[in-house]
Amino acid sequence: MSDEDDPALRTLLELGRTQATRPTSELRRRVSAADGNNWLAAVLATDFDGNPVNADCVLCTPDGDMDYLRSQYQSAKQCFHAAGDEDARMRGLLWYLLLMAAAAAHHDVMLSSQPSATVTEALLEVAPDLPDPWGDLAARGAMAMD
Amino acid sequence: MDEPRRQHFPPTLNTWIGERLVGGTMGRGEINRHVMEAYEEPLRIYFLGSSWRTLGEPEEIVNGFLADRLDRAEFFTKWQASGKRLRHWLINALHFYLKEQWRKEHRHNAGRLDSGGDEDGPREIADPGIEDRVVDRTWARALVAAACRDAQTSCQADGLDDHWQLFIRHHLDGLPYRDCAAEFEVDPKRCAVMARTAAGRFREALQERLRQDGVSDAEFDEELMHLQEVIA
Repeated sequence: MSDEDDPALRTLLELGRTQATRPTSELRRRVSAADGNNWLAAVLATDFDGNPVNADCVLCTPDGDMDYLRSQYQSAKQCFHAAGDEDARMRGLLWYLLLMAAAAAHHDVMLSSQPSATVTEALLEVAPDLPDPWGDLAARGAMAMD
Repeated sequence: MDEPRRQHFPPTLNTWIGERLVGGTMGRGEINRHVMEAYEEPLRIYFLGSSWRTLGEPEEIVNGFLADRLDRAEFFTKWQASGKRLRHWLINALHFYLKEQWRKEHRHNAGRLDSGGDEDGPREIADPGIEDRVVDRTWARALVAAACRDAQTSCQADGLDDHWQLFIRHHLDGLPYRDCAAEFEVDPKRCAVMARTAAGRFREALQERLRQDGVSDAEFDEELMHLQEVIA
Protein backbone atom coordinates (compact mmCIF):
# COMPACT_ATOMS: atom_id res chain seq x y z
CA MET A 1 0.00 0.00 0.00
CA SER A 2 1.33 3.43 -0.87
CA ASP A 3 1.05 6.63 1.12
CA GLU A 4 -1.88 7.70 -1.06
CA ASP A 5 -3.90 4.81 0.35
CA ASP A 6 -4.36 6.33 3.80
CA PRO A 7 -8.18 6.63 3.56
CA ALA A 8 -8.33 2.94 2.67
CA LEU A 9 -5.94 2.16 5.50
CA ARG A 10 -8.10 4.06 7.98
CA THR A 11 -11.23 2.27 6.76
CA LEU A 12 -9.57 -1.12 7.07
CA LEU A 13 -8.38 -0.35 10.59
CA GLU A 14 -11.93 0.72 11.42
CA LEU A 15 -13.27 -2.55 10.03
CA GLY A 16 -11.01 -4.42 12.42
CA ARG A 17 -12.73 -3.05 15.50
CA THR A 18 -14.74 -5.28 17.79
CA GLN A 19 -18.29 -5.86 16.60
CA ALA A 20 -19.86 -7.60 19.58
CA THR A 21 -20.92 -4.46 21.43
CA ARG A 22 -22.07 -2.47 18.41
CA PRO A 23 -25.78 -1.65 18.09
CA THR A 24 -25.96 -3.34 14.68
CA SER A 25 -24.70 -6.55 16.27
CA GLU A 26 -27.44 -6.32 18.88
CA LEU A 27 -30.02 -5.77 16.13
CA ARG A 28 -28.70 -8.78 14.23
CA ARG A 29 -29.09 -10.89 17.36
CA ARG A 30 -32.62 -9.59 17.87
CA VAL A 31 -33.88 -10.35 14.36
CA SER A 32 -32.11 -13.72 14.31
CA ALA A 33 -33.78 -14.84 17.55
CA ALA A 34 -36.49 -17.51 17.40
CA ASP A 35 -39.22 -14.86 17.53
CA GLY A 36 -37.29 -12.49 15.28
CA ASN A 37 -39.74 -12.44 12.39
CA ASN A 38 -42.70 -11.80 14.71
CA TRP A 39 -40.80 -9.03 16.45
CA LEU A 40 -39.95 -7.49 13.08
CA ALA A 41 -43.55 -7.61 11.89
CA ALA A 42 -44.83 -6.06 15.11
CA VAL A 43 -42.22 -3.29 15.10
CA LEU A 44 -42.94 -2.35 11.50
CA ALA A 45 -46.72 -2.42 11.94
CA THR A 46 -46.87 0.89 13.81
CA ASP A 47 -45.08 4.13 13.07
CA PHE A 48 -43.64 6.57 15.61
CA ASP A 49 -46.88 8.57 15.67
CA GLY A 50 -48.63 5.46 16.94
CA ASN A 51 -50.51 4.91 13.69
CA PRO A 52 -50.83 1.59 11.88
CA VAL A 53 -48.65 1.64 8.78
CA ASN A 54 -48.08 -0.44 5.67
CA ALA A 55 -44.31 -0.42 5.95
CA ASP A 56 -43.93 -2.43 2.76
CA CYS A 57 -45.66 0.33 0.79
CA VAL A 58 -43.98 3.21 2.61
CA LEU A 59 -40.44 1.82 2.62
CA CYS A 60 -40.15 -0.58 -0.30
CA THR A 61 -41.68 1.51 -3.09
CA PRO A 62 -41.20 5.06 -4.36
CA ASP A 63 -44.71 5.84 -3.03
CA GLY A 64 -43.50 6.77 0.44
CA ASP A 65 -43.79 10.51 1.03
CA MET A 66 -40.40 12.12 1.67
CA ASP A 67 -41.71 14.44 4.39
CA TYR A 68 -43.17 11.45 6.19
CA LEU A 69 -39.88 9.55 5.85
CA ARG A 70 -37.99 12.54 7.24
CA SER A 71 -40.23 12.98 10.26
CA GLN A 72 -40.20 9.25 11.02
CA TYR A 73 -36.42 9.23 10.64
CA GLN A 74 -36.08 11.94 13.31
CA SER A 75 -38.39 10.01 15.64
CA ALA A 76 -36.52 6.76 15.01
CA LYS A 77 -33.19 8.42 15.73
CA GLN A 78 -34.58 9.90 18.94
CA CYS A 79 -35.98 6.51 19.95
CA PHE A 80 -32.67 4.76 19.23
CA HIS A 81 -30.64 7.23 21.26
CA ALA A 82 -33.05 7.90 24.12
CA ALA A 83 -35.13 4.76 24.65
CA GLY A 84 -35.04 3.37 28.15
CA ASP A 85 -35.10 -0.30 27.22
CA GLU A 86 -33.19 -2.36 24.71
CA ASP A 87 -36.24 -3.53 22.79
CA ALA A 88 -37.35 0.05 22.10
CA ARG A 89 -33.78 0.99 21.20
CA MET A 90 -33.68 -1.82 18.64
CA ARG A 91 -37.03 -0.71 17.26
CA GLY A 92 -35.57 2.75 16.79
CA LEU A 93 -32.44 1.38 15.13
CA LEU A 94 -34.36 -0.88 12.73
CA TRP A 95 -36.61 1.95 11.56
CA TYR A 96 -33.66 4.35 11.47
CA LEU A 97 -31.71 2.07 9.10
CA LEU A 98 -34.67 1.15 6.91
CA LEU A 99 -35.81 4.76 6.56
CA MET A 100 -32.32 5.77 5.45
CA ALA A 101 -32.27 2.86 3.00
CA ALA A 102 -35.70 3.77 1.59
CA ALA A 103 -34.82 7.44 1.14
CA ALA A 104 -31.58 6.55 -0.66
CA ALA A 105 -32.96 3.69 -2.76
CA HIS A 106 -36.22 5.31 -3.90
CA HIS A 107 -35.67 9.06 -3.57
CA ASP A 108 -31.91 9.46 -3.94
CA VAL A 109 -31.88 11.30 -0.61
CA MET A 110 -29.31 10.88 2.15
CA LEU A 111 -31.15 11.41 5.42
CA SER A 112 -28.17 11.05 7.73
CA SER A 113 -25.31 13.51 8.07
CA GLN A 114 -23.01 10.63 8.97
CA PRO A 115 -20.38 9.64 6.38
CA SER A 116 -22.09 7.54 3.72
CA ALA A 117 -19.48 4.80 4.14
CA THR A 118 -20.48 4.41 7.80
CA VAL A 119 -24.17 4.07 6.98
CA THR A 120 -23.44 1.80 4.01
CA GLU A 121 -21.40 -0.59 6.14
CA ALA A 122 -24.10 -0.63 8.84
CA LEU A 123 -26.79 -1.49 6.28
CA LEU A 124 -24.67 -4.19 4.67
CA GLU A 125 -23.95 -5.59 8.12
CA VAL A 126 -27.61 -6.17 8.96
CA ALA A 127 -29.03 -6.86 5.47
CA PRO A 128 -28.16 -10.59 5.34
CA ASP A 129 -30.02 -11.20 8.63
CA LEU A 130 -33.23 -9.44 7.62
CA PRO A 131 -35.94 -11.36 5.78
CA ASP A 132 -37.02 -9.88 2.47
CA PRO A 133 -38.24 -7.40 1.52
CA TRP A 134 -36.31 -5.73 4.38
CA GLY A 135 -32.96 -7.36 3.70
CA ASP A 136 -33.22 -6.47 0.05
CA LEU A 137 -34.21 -2.90 0.96
CA ALA A 138 -31.24 -2.52 3.31
CA ALA A 139 -28.83 -3.82 0.66
CA ARG A 140 -30.32 -1.64 -2.10
CA GLY A 141 -30.19 1.38 0.17
CA ALA A 142 -26.52 0.68 0.89
CA MET A 143 -25.75 0.43 -2.83
CA ALA A 144 -27.62 3.66 -3.54
CA MET A 145 -25.70 5.73 -1.01
CA ASP A 146 -22.26 4.23 -1.66
CA MET B 1 -23.75 -16.18 8.08
CA ASP B 2 -20.32 -15.22 9.38
CA GLU B 3 -17.72 -17.94 9.15
CA PRO B 4 -16.54 -19.75 12.28
CA ARG B 5 -13.66 -18.16 14.13
CA ARG B 6 -10.24 -19.62 13.48
CA GLN B 7 -7.53 -19.66 16.09
CA HIS B 8 -3.98 -19.96 14.91
CA PHE B 9 -2.33 -18.72 18.08
CA PRO B 10 -3.03 -18.78 21.81
CA PRO B 11 -4.55 -15.64 23.37
CA THR B 12 -1.37 -13.61 23.61
CA LEU B 13 1.98 -13.57 21.91
CA ASN B 14 3.55 -13.56 25.35
CA THR B 15 1.99 -16.95 26.09
CA TRP B 16 2.84 -18.29 22.67
CA ILE B 17 6.47 -17.22 22.88
CA GLY B 18 6.71 -18.39 26.49
CA GLU B 19 5.60 -21.87 25.49
CA ARG B 20 8.08 -22.02 22.66
CA LEU B 21 10.96 -20.79 24.77
CA VAL B 22 10.42 -23.85 26.94
CA GLY B 23 10.67 -25.94 23.77
CA GLY B 24 14.36 -25.20 23.25
CA THR B 25 15.97 -24.87 19.83
CA MET B 26 12.93 -25.97 17.87
CA GLY B 27 10.73 -23.53 19.75
CA ARG B 28 13.21 -20.72 19.21
CA GLY B 29 13.15 -21.50 15.51
CA GLU B 30 9.36 -21.09 15.44
CA ILE B 31 9.58 -17.77 17.27
CA ASN B 32 12.28 -16.50 14.93
CA ARG B 33 10.31 -17.47 11.84
CA HIS B 34 7.25 -15.70 13.16
CA VAL B 35 9.15 -12.55 14.10
CA MET B 36 10.95 -12.40 10.76
CA GLU B 37 7.73 -12.92 8.83
CA ALA B 38 5.74 -10.38 10.82
CA TYR B 39 8.30 -7.69 11.58
CA GLU B 40 10.95 -7.72 8.86
CA GLU B 41 9.00 -5.36 6.62
CA PRO B 42 8.09 -2.81 9.33
CA LEU B 43 11.70 -2.81 10.53
CA ARG B 44 12.97 -2.26 7.01
CA ILE B 45 10.54 0.59 6.35
CA TYR B 46 11.42 2.10 9.69
CA PHE B 47 15.15 1.90 8.95
CA LEU B 48 14.66 3.57 5.54
CA GLY B 49 12.87 6.46 7.20
CA SER B 50 15.48 6.93 9.92
CA SER B 51 18.64 9.04 10.05
CA TRP B 52 20.64 5.79 10.09
CA ARG B 53 19.69 4.80 6.54
CA THR B 54 23.18 5.51 5.16
CA LEU B 55 24.60 2.71 7.29
CA GLY B 56 23.82 0.07 4.66
CA GLU B 57 21.28 -1.69 2.54
CA PRO B 58 18.01 -2.10 4.46
CA GLU B 59 17.76 -5.84 3.79
CA GLU B 60 21.30 -6.41 5.03
CA ILE B 61 20.86 -4.23 8.09
CA VAL B 62 17.54 -5.75 9.15
CA ASN B 63 18.61 -9.31 8.45
CA GLY B 64 21.84 -8.68 10.34
CA PHE B 65 19.91 -7.22 13.25
CA LEU B 66 17.45 -10.11 13.41
CA ALA B 67 20.23 -12.71 13.12
CA ASP B 68 22.17 -11.03 15.91
CA ARG B 69 19.35 -10.37 18.36
CA LEU B 70 17.18 -13.43 17.77
CA ASP B 71 20.20 -15.57 18.52
CA ARG B 72 20.48 -14.15 22.03
CA ALA B 73 18.94 -16.46 24.60
CA GLU B 74 17.68 -13.64 26.81
CA PHE B 75 16.18 -11.47 24.05
CA PHE B 76 12.56 -12.61 24.40
CA THR B 77 12.62 -13.21 28.14
CA LYS B 78 13.66 -9.57 28.53
CA TRP B 79 10.85 -8.52 26.20
CA GLN B 80 8.36 -10.54 28.26
CA ALA B 81 9.50 -8.73 31.38
CA SER B 82 9.31 -5.30 29.68
CA GLY B 83 5.55 -5.19 29.18
CA LYS B 84 6.12 -3.44 25.82
CA ARG B 85 4.50 -4.19 22.49
CA LEU B 86 6.89 -6.43 20.59
CA ARG B 87 7.16 -3.87 17.78
CA HIS B 88 8.41 -1.22 20.21
CA TRP B 89 10.82 -3.67 21.79
CA LEU B 90 12.22 -4.61 18.39
CA ILE B 91 12.61 -0.99 17.29
CA ASN B 92 14.42 -0.08 20.51
CA ALA B 93 16.70 -3.05 19.95
CA LEU B 94 17.23 -1.98 16.35
CA HIS B 95 18.31 1.47 17.58
CA PHE B 96 20.95 -0.10 19.81
CA TYR B 97 22.07 -2.40 17.01
CA LEU B 98 22.41 0.55 14.61
CA LYS B 99 24.44 2.44 17.16
CA GLU B 100 26.73 -0.58 17.52
CA GLN B 101 27.10 -0.77 13.76
CA TRP B 102 27.85 2.94 13.54
CA ARG B 103 30.56 2.63 16.20
CA LYS B 104 32.11 -0.37 14.44
CA GLU B 105 32.16 1.51 11.16
CA HIS B 106 33.52 4.62 12.81
CA ARG B 107 36.32 2.68 14.51
CA HIS B 108 37.13 0.93 11.26
CA ASN B 109 37.32 4.21 9.34
CA ALA B 110 39.30 5.91 12.07
CA GLY B 111 41.82 3.04 12.07
CA ARG B 112 42.05 3.04 8.30
CA LEU B 113 42.72 6.77 8.14
CA ASP B 114 45.13 6.51 11.05
CA SER B 115 43.12 9.13 12.84
CA GLY B 116 42.73 8.64 16.53
CA GLY B 117 40.22 11.48 16.79
CA ASP B 118 36.53 11.12 17.43
CA GLU B 119 35.38 14.35 15.86
CA ASP B 120 31.84 13.34 15.09
CA GLY B 121 31.01 11.84 18.45
CA PRO B 122 28.42 9.10 18.74
CA ARG B 123 25.02 9.78 17.23
CA GLU B 124 22.26 10.28 19.69
CA ILE B 125 19.54 7.70 19.86
CA ALA B 126 16.20 9.29 19.23
CA ASP B 127 13.75 9.42 22.09
CA PRO B 128 11.75 6.20 21.75
CA GLY B 129 8.67 8.02 23.05
CA ILE B 130 8.73 10.22 19.98
CA GLU B 131 9.75 7.49 17.62
CA ASP B 132 6.86 5.26 18.70
CA ARG B 133 4.53 7.24 16.42
CA VAL B 134 6.77 6.59 13.44
CA VAL B 135 6.99 2.93 14.38
CA ASP B 136 3.24 2.70 14.77
CA ARG B 137 2.57 4.36 11.42
CA THR B 138 4.82 1.87 9.69
CA TRP B 139 3.40 -0.93 11.75
CA ALA B 140 -0.22 -0.02 10.87
CA ARG B 141 0.55 -0.33 7.18
CA ALA B 142 2.36 -3.64 7.59
CA LEU B 143 -0.34 -4.93 9.93
CA VAL B 144 -3.14 -4.29 7.43
CA ALA B 145 -1.11 -5.76 4.56
CA ALA B 146 -0.40 -8.91 6.59
CA ALA B 147 -4.04 -9.21 7.67
CA CYS B 148 -5.11 -8.91 4.02
CA ARG B 149 -2.77 -11.76 3.10
CA ASP B 150 -4.11 -13.90 5.96
CA ALA B 151 -7.75 -13.15 5.12
CA GLN B 152 -7.20 -13.89 1.46
CA THR B 153 -5.64 -17.25 2.34
CA SER B 154 -8.53 -17.98 4.70
CA CYS B 155 -11.14 -17.11 2.06
CA GLN B 156 -9.39 -19.11 -0.64
CA ALA B 157 -9.15 -22.15 1.62
CA ASP B 158 -12.92 -22.14 2.02
CA GLY B 159 -13.82 -21.43 -1.59
CA LEU B 160 -14.67 -17.80 -0.87
CA ASP B 161 -12.24 -16.20 -3.28
CA ASP B 162 -15.01 -14.15 -4.93
CA HIS B 163 -15.93 -12.76 -1.52
CA TRP B 164 -12.37 -11.64 -0.98
CA GLN B 165 -12.01 -10.18 -4.48
CA LEU B 166 -15.19 -8.17 -3.96
CA PHE B 167 -13.81 -6.88 -0.64
CA ILE B 168 -10.58 -5.79 -2.37
CA ARG B 169 -12.43 -4.19 -5.28
CA HIS B 170 -14.42 -2.08 -2.86
CA HIS B 171 -11.98 -1.26 -0.09
CA LEU B 172 -8.69 -1.00 -1.99
CA ASP B 173 -9.73 -0.26 -5.57
CA GLY B 174 -12.51 2.08 -4.45
CA LEU B 175 -15.22 0.52 -6.62
CA PRO B 176 -18.70 1.36 -5.26
CA TYR B 177 -20.69 -1.61 -3.99
CA ARG B 178 -23.31 -1.24 -6.73
CA ASP B 179 -20.55 -1.59 -9.34
CA CYS B 180 -19.11 -4.54 -7.42
CA ALA B 181 -22.53 -6.20 -7.54
CA ALA B 182 -22.66 -5.68 -11.30
CA GLU B 183 -19.09 -6.87 -11.81
CA PHE B 184 -19.63 -10.03 -9.78
CA GLU B 185 -23.15 -10.48 -11.23
CA VAL B 186 -24.85 -10.71 -7.84
CA ASP B 187 -27.94 -8.99 -6.47
CA PRO B 188 -27.52 -6.37 -3.71
CA LYS B 189 -28.35 -8.77 -0.88
CA ARG B 190 -25.87 -11.35 -2.09
CA CYS B 191 -23.33 -8.57 -2.40
CA ALA B 192 -24.01 -7.70 1.26
CA VAL B 193 -23.43 -11.33 2.29
CA MET B 194 -20.15 -11.48 0.38
CA ALA B 195 -18.93 -8.15 1.71
CA ARG B 196 -19.81 -9.03 5.30
CA THR B 197 -18.20 -12.46 5.13
CA ALA B 198 -14.95 -11.09 3.71
CA ALA B 199 -14.96 -8.22 6.22
CA GLY B 200 -15.39 -10.79 9.00
CA ARG B 201 -12.38 -12.77 7.75
CA PHE B 202 -10.35 -9.59 7.54
CA ARG B 203 -11.38 -8.59 11.07
CA GLU B 204 -10.37 -11.99 12.45
CA ALA B 205 -7.02 -11.81 10.67
CA LEU B 206 -6.33 -8.27 11.87
CA GLN B 207 -7.21 -9.09 15.46
CA GLU B 208 -5.07 -12.22 15.31
CA ARG B 209 -2.13 -10.13 14.17
CA LEU B 210 -2.74 -7.71 17.03
CA ARG B 211 -2.76 -10.62 19.49
CA GLN B 212 0.57 -11.72 18.09
CA ASP B 213 1.97 -8.30 18.88
CA GLY B 214 0.85 -8.63 22.48
CA VAL B 215 -2.51 -6.79 22.36
CA SER B 216 -5.20 -8.37 24.55
CA ASP B 217 -8.75 -8.81 23.24
CA ALA B 218 -10.00 -6.06 25.55
CA GLU B 219 -7.49 -3.62 24.02
CA PHE B 220 -8.31 -4.18 20.33
CA ASP B 221 -10.50 -1.12 19.80
CA GLU B 222 -8.21 1.17 21.75
CA GLU B 223 -5.20 -0.07 19.78
CA LEU B 224 -6.97 0.33 16.43
CA MET B 225 -8.15 3.82 17.33
CA HIS B 226 -4.57 4.68 18.27
CA LEU B 227 -3.31 3.38 14.93
CA GLN B 228 -6.00 5.37 13.10
CA GLU B 229 -4.81 8.48 14.91
CA VAL B 230 -1.14 7.99 14.08
CA ILE B 231 -1.79 7.58 10.35
CA ALA B 232 -4.07 10.63 10.25
